[in-house]
Amino acid sequence: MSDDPHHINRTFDEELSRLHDMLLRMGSLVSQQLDSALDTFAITHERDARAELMDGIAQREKALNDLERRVQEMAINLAAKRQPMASDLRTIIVAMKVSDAFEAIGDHCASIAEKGSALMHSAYRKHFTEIAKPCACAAQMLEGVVSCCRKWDESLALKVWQKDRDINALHDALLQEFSKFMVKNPNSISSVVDFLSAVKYVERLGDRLKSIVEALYYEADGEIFAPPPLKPPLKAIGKGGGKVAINKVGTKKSDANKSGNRAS
Amino acid sequence: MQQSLEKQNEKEPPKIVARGVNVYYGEKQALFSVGLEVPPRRVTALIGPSGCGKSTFLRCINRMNDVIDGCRVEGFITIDGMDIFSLDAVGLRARIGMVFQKPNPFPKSIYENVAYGVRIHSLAKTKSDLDAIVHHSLKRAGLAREVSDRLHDPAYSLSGGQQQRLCIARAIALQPELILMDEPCSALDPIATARIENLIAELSRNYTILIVTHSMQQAARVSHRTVFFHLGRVIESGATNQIFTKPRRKQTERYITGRIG
Repeated sequence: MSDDPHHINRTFDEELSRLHDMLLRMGSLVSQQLDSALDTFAITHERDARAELMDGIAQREKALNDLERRVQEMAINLAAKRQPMASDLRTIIVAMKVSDAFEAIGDHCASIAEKGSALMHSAYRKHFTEIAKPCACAAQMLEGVVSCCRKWDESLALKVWQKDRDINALHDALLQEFSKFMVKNPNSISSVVDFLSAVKYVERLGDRLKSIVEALYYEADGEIFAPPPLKPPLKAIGKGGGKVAINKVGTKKSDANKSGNRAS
Repeated sequence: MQQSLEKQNEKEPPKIVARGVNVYYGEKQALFSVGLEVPPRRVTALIGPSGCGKSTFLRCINRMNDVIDGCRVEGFITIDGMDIFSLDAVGLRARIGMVFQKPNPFPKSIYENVAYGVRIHSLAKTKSDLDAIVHHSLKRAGLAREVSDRLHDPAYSLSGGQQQRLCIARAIALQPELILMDEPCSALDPIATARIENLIAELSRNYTILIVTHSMQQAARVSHRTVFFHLGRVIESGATNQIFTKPRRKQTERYITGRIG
C-alpha cells in the first residue's frame, strides 16, 4: 500500500484497504495451515485430535479458496471501475498474484497434511519428523512474507527470498538421505515415497513464498525484481545438532551445498 | 519496429525546445520557468489539474497568448531551432494546426471548411489540386467515407465527433509541422473519442502532436511521452509507460492516483 495521503475519492481507499485486509487474513490462515500440516507428522496423536486437525485444515482450505476468489473479483472490479495508475495499479496486480500464491500454498499445506495423515501407521513414522526442518524454514519465510505484506521491509524481504535456498538444500539432502534409506530398507519404499512427496510440497511452497516476495518488491519499488548476488545456502544437514533422523546414512556438507546451489 | 522508431525519434533533435518560459496574466504568474523538449513525430500529453498551466503552455507555442490582453510571455521557445518570437505570428500559426475542446467548424460547407485555409495560404494551384487536398485531408481524418456524398452540406449537420474530425482535417490540410490539441475529446462520447484517438495514433507517424487532456487514461492510451504540470511548473516529464507505472516524483504519483487534484 502506498504511504501517500488518502485518495480524494475515499471509497477507493476503503476498497484498497479491504483488499489488503483480505490478503493479511489469507497470510494468517496459511500460517495456521502450515502449523497443522506439520502437526500431522507428530508421532503421537489421539484419533479425535487427528480428526479435529484434519477438519480444521479442510475448513481453512475452503476459507482460503473463498478469500482468493473474493480478492480476484475485487481486484478485477477495482481495475475496471477505478482504472488505477502507478502504485494503485501495482497494488491491485500484486494482490491478484499474492492471493493466487497464498491459495496455492494452502493447497500444498493440505497435501502435506494428507501425506502426514496417510503415514500415521507407518512403521518408519519416527524418521519422517525430519520434515520439521524444511517446514521450520518455510514458517520463517511465511512470517517474513506476512510481515512484508503488512509493512514493506526490503531488507527483510531479501532475507526471506534467500531463505528459499535453504528449503531447497534441505529438500535435496532429505531426498538423498531417504533414497539411500530405501535401498537399505526396501519395505519402507511406499512410506518414504509419500514422505518425500510431502517434502516436495514444502519445497514448492518455498518457491511460492519467494514469488510473493518478488511481487511485493514490484509493488513497493515499481521494478521487476532482479535477484541479488546469492550467499551460500544453509549448511543445516549433518552439522552440529542439525543431523537428519536417519543419521546412520549421514550427509556430507559438500553434498548439501552442491544441491543448494541450484536454488533460484 | 515500434522500438526502433522510438530510438530513431530520440536521436533526432527535438521539434520544440522550451527554456525558462514564464507567463503572466497581468500580475498573476501562470507559468514558472517551464523547460521542455518535445520529440518529433511523437504524441506528447500535457496533464495536470485545472489551472496548472498546461493549456497556457500550449498556447505559447503558436503564440495565441499574444492576443490575450495583459498576457506576457518570457523565455525561449524554438521549433526546429527557430525562435518562435522572431517569426511572424501569422506565418507561425500556419505551420501549427490547432484543435480545441469544442469542435469549431466554420459556418460553411464541409468542403469549404477544409478548403478555406488552403485557399487563403495559396496551397493549391488549381481546382483539382484543391479537391485532391480536401479529399486527402478528409481521408487522413477518417471522415472521407462518411461525408463523400454530402461534401456541400453545412458542417453543422455533422455530429460532434465528425465535426471534431473535420476540424482535424481542416488543420492537416495546411500540412502543419505540429498539431496542438486542447482537450479535443472532452465534448465527445466514447465512440467518437476512440475514433479521434485512433486518428491521433495515425497522425503521429507524420506529425508532432501535443495534447492537453484531463483524462489520464487518454494520456496513457495515446501519448508516447507525458508531461505533468502542477501550479505552473513542470514537475515531471518522461515516457508515458514510466509516468503511469512508476513516476519518479511523489507529486506525479499523487496526482495520477487521485490523491491531489
